[in-house]
Amino acid sequence: MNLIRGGGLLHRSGSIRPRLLLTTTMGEGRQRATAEDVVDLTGEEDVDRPADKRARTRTHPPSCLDTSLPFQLFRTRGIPAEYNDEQQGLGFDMEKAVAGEIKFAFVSVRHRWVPSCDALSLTLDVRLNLRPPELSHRPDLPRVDVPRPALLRYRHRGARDEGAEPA
Amino acid sequence: MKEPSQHEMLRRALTSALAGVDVSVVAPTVPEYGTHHSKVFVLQYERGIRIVIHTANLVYPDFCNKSQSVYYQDFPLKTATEGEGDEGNGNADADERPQDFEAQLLAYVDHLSLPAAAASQLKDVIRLHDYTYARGRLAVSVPSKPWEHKDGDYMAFGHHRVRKILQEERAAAGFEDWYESAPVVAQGSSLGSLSARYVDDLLASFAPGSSKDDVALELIWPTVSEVQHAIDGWFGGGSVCATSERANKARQICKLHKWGGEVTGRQRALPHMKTYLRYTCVGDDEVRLPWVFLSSMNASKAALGEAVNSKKYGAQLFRVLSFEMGIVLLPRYELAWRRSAWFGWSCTDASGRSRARGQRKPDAVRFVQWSKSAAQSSQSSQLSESSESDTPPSPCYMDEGSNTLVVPIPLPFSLPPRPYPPATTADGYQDTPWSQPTELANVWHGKDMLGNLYPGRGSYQGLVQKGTSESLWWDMFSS
Repeated sequence: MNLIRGGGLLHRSGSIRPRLLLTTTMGEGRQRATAEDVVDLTGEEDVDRPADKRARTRTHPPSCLDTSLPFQLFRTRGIPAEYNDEQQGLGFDMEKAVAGEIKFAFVSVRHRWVPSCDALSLTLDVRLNLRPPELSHRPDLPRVDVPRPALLRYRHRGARDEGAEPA
Repeated sequence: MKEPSQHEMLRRALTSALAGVDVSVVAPTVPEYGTHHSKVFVLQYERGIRIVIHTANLVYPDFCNKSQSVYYQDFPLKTATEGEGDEGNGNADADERPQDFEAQLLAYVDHLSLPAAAASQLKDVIRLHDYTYARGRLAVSVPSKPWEHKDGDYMAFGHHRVRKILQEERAAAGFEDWYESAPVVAQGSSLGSLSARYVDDLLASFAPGSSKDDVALELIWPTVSEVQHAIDGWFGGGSVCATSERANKARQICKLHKWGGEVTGRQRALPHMKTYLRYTCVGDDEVRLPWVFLSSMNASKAALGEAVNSKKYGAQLFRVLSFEMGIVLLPRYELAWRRSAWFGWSCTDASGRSRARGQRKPDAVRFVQWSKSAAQSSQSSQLSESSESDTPPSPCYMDEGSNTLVVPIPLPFSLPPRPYPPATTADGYQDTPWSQPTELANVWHGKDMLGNLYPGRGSYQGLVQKGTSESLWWDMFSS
């Protein structure tokens, strides 16, 4: 049974109990994590997510993991598509790297500035279903309908509900 | 009642969310000024293990807006490779290559101070797999009490480890004649407090055997202008860390070069990758690389380590403050992998096929810098990596004359790197190394690409919190 939909799968089959071991630098003086901070892992909110995100996160056959170059670059937003060509080693997709049924995951991350759950959610559920960045940086632009339930789970605890404010 | 620690609360939260998954969260102890900085996934599957070493923190801007690099490779179970000799894999030089991938991984785990059960399980998982055909050699940094390594560990970590690897490679395989005077490039996203003596020490590691008078260290560091016009604007500068004192000192000691990013269209994607390499230009269109070191290590004593004389111990010690992990990619190891039966094998491919079948085996491998023109010109004559029709085409191509496989390395910055322009008064910041102001009075002027004044707006979750972004920014880099 898949416990996590999307890119990262820790699986449970038979007597195997999947295990996650995380090492991290914890935030000092930051908000404490609670279950509310952890992204929903059931995928129930997929209906609220943009169509392109749904398509992207559901099509990642592990067998197409490209191993032709030893050194690759991450896919980057806002640059010409030709420079995100995965076959040229320019468009690495972490979703594919953590695809498949994982029995044991050891994850080492640096984590000082942000609540840990956000980082870990990305690790486990590497769908990157974050707020469209153009809205993040251009609050002066007209507001579009963003599927809020999925997004709000990523915010800092205690942050105001941005959707309640006028554009 | 005593409040639970942060990582205990995180563990509880994850356990609650990940029903059925056994979750452990550990915050390794690091000394002052050190950090747990490595970015690594070790993923165990039914048929093998996947090692992913990358440079991105797991937050939105790092994943989407920065230039990041990654190495990953799948390794089979030892039980699957038992009895496989040179005859089986067609690789006569396999046993001549030093094999310490597993040992470095285990040494790294040993220093994490994990709970005994967790450490034991992780080490057992690592030991189950065969790393003979790793495409490079691991180099890790680990602090140790009292934060110094000596005796057998003196050359085991940080830039000393890289020195040892390159010395062994030079002795075993040799390098071409041009290697001895090839420049060393260092590129990172954070600047430590560099000194002339420390830079000489780094050169001794990244150019072992070469005279320091013959070799230059070319440091790539973004200008203020490059940060200002980046995807994240001023906010993105929060991930490129240096004080003005350190940036200016680095400029005095090394020759600073612009980030550029134009080779792979990443002019506006600020660097968060960390790369060390040597290079030479052959003709107008080929840049050769004898090795490339991809890691989480920035150019700092905390990450790369520092040799110190200790009166207390009466010996030379090697001090490391942070946990880091990287890999030195070497053509000889790449060749061995490509000639082995495990070339292209994936532990998540249900068919269990490798791409070795039907593959033409090269006699040598040459690393070159990726370029758009070379990629386009090679489209028609691309090497078929496999006879399987569903295998994606490869950007590698064969140098027919020498049966050498040319493997492009996608480095975003130009080689040779572009030096900072001479200081001018016009259109400032193009010649000014980026640094984070420590006082509000010394902030950078002008609007960034997003139309924001310094310090800009943004969030590590990709979500701006209205009214709090500035305080978040300041709080962030003052911590």
